[in-house]
Amino acid sequence: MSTVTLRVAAVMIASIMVFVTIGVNAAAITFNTALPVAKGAFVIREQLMVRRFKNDLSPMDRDLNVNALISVLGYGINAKFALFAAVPYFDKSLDLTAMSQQFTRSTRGVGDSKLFARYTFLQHDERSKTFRIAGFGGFKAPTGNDNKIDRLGRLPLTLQSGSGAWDYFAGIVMTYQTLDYQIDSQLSYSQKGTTNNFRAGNEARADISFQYRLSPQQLSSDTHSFLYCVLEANLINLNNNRLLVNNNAINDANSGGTTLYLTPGIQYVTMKYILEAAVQVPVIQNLNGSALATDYIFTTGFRVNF
Amino acid sequence: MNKSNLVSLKSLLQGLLFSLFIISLTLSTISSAAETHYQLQVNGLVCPFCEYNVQKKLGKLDGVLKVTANLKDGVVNVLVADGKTLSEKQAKKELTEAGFTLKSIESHQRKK
Repeated sequence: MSTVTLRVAAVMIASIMVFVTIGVNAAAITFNTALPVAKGAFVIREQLMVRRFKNDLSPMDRDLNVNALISVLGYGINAKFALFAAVPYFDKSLDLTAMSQQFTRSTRGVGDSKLFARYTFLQHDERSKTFRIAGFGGFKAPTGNDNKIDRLGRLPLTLQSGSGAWDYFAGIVMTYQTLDYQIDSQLSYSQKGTTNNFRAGNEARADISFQYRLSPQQLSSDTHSFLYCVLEANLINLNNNRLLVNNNAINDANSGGTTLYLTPGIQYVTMKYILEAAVQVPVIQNLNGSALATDYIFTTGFRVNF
Repeated sequence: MNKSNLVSLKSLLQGLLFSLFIISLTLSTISSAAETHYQLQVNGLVCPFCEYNVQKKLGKLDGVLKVTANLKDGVVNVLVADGKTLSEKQAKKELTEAGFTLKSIESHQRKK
């Protein structure tokens, strides 16, 4: 896919997002910034994520599998200001061939934790409609182990549970919701920190989620649960990783790139809990060098309001 | 049956009648007690998750007996016990904290 096509796709998504807004209730599946939280209320989201990569065409024939259990807790300080914490638990394994031998390397453990705050600075409610815009910002703390060693030595960074670095991120999230459908979207940028003379590439992403009520088709006065079909798009651009050698930064030519995922999903919303599942399928992957391409990411989980 | 027995029977019947009178009087007072039904038009109610937040916020108020929401019409019905009230200020505060906007509030007395 050419760079021009990618730019056009990015501009199209960004243009759509100008006209839509923030997640209030059902909220997107592949991002957390739109989760609704009332004052003094908690919301918990648990997600199981299974990520599979495509066959490696390089001589190393790498086969990377990443599974994660992600726990998110949100708390409403007041109706506009909410705090969130997200802690992942990873199970990663990598099969590869080197010197005509096949090796398996793996790790398990708590990953880096994210803490962020969201402030809703625009809210416009109408009968059975709402439109909200919020800003968010936070950091990722290096709570995961980034120095795990196996019999072959220190694991590569992609296999470590943690990055060892402090990252900072900020963005804007918008929601427009009616009884029939909901649109959530976000733009965000993440500045990666440096550790052990290594800095992962900064990340820019644009996400949009469209949820349409499938059931019940007609609302009655005693309707207390909705079934939504969901379609999301995630455009993610990663800069090259950088190695600091003698105070000189060297780009890793086999890292970074741009990916556009299309994500069909389903969501069942009741008064107290939400069940959800989605599959992120990459429709554009313009990766640098021999960076591993994603085959799919399957996410399923639940959310509880209390 | 001697005269004294008749007198005591008469007294017993009088006491019984008086008791029945007091009981019926009490029951009639209770039956005239009225709960108040408030109908709140709430903007921003868009899915069942909203409903839970509204029920939780309004349900904790003193005297509130029941909270139900009608998503289709954007209406929240609140039943409040006799002698208690739900002010517009209270309702607005709780709904704002839950993330919604109170548009109007109406009350109706409802006899038990």
